[in-house]
Amino acid sequence: MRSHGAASLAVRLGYENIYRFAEGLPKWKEMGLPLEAGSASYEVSRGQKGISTVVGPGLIITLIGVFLGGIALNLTPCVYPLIPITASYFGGRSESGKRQGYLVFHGVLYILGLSLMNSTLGVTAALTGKLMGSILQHPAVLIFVSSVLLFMALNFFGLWELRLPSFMSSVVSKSYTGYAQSFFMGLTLGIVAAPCIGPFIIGLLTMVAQKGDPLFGFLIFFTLSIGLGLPLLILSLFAGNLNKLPRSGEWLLWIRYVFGWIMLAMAVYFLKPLFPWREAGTVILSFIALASGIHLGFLNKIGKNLRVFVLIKRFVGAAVIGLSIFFISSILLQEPGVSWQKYSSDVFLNARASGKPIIIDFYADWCTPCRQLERKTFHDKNVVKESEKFTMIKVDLTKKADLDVTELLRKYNIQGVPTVIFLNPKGDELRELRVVDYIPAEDFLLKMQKALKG
Amino acid sequence: MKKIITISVLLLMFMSFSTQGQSIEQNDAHMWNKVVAEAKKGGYQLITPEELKKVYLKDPSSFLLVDTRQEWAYQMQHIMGASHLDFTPTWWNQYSPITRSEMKKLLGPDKNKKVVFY
Repeated sequence: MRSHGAASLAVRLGYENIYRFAEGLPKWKEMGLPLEAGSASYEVSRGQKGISTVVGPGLIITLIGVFLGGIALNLTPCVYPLIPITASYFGGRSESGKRQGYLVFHGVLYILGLSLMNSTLGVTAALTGKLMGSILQHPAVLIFVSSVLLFMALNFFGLWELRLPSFMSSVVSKSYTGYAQSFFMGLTLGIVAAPCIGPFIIGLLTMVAQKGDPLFGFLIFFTLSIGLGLPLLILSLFAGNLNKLPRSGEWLLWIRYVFGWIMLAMAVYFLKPLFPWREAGTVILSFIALASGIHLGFLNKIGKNLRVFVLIKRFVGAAVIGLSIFFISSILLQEPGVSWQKYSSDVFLNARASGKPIIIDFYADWCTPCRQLERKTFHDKNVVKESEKFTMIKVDLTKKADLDVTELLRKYNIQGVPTVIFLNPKGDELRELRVVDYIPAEDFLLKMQKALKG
Repeated sequence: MKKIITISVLLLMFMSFSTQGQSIEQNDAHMWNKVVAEAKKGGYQLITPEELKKVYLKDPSSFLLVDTRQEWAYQMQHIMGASHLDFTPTWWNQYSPITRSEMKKLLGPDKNKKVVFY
């Protein structure tokens, strides 16, 4: 698969003498030809590589997503009301007869202030790395975050009104003078907007903490800030056109409902790892989506007189309903699969302590036989039943393997994906049972039975 | 009508049994046909293990050998002297300017150079 893609790309780049050795390494080994292992400095060089390990198409897509997310966050109730305030602040500057360039400079300072606030967060998350990641995944934290989200969701649905503390709104609306103030105003926007953009930020923080790269953390949060600040800046530069901005009227109420549903969904999303049945979270989420589609599209009377708005409402509602029905049916139609544990050194130690034999599946998202194994073999009724006698562990090799995983790969001499290995409770592999391609359920079942006999 | 249904059901059952009984060799042949079809579509050539062995033992520096597997796999073990280019087979990677420039850098300016991917 991989070498096919590489070879055909090389051909398209104009290289004329391209070959593919389809049998690859296994055959080479079998023929007893010379092999070598990677340099011993592998771990060291990995550590020093830093940002280069995440630079790539993935990073660009992530940054674009984060940027768009930043722009979208302007519609949240914490930020939207601030737009006129900020705009009038900048507008006031232009009236004082200064040149446009001067105004732009103020705007840039404003965005820098905002970025500094957020980027500090990002870099901290990256530097504390695993610690932050594991704190953010602790059940108590998950429950706390989830209840905050639930609280906010109810606020958006209008059950109660959450107001900015008055000292904050006064800080924001205070009229400033000088460049330092533009900068400071950006800083405060970061704080004031926090309740609304919090969940989004927590998600990003978790991601950054997992990568553990300060520059990556900085980039992510810098991009977010630019997305967040840009609409405000542009509007401010054309402060005269401020009255063209849609009034925060009835339709904003609908946007609030949208965010209410999103918050509710996120509250469930954060609890997902805590549900005993793995699919439970997904099923609940799908039903929330269904309910939100019905509510947003058809069950509210907001903006009856605005024809375009009603059309948008219906369209969004119908689209959400369609998608959620699709998801619900695909989940319910699929038979339950093997319940896997995600690999970590703790999980592995516990598994060995439990005295059950262990099955480890090494897979990657792009690998077709891996997906086949999961969809067919690991969803087979008999395999699922038999799997209860084992500890089932999955190792995701889609992205770069971290140190723990690299050790595991070395220990069991894993060469590629898919690889499924059978271990006795002591952790020794039953080598003859190893699976390195798709195999049907019946064959896998036989291997499981052999493994149980030891 | 009923007869037709019965016959087609029987036929279907027969077909499913016969595919289940497919031997490993047949499966291998099927896989190999796929590889050949892919090569034709991709516009490159296939090299047999024997042929590769011959040119490799004669002069390993006469061609560029590129390992396209993931980095961890390359680090663990690769053909002696092989270079590495992690090529995730995604749609995006086929068109990504970054992958393109990486590959150009690795393969160099000589468009006639013999390159073997695995």
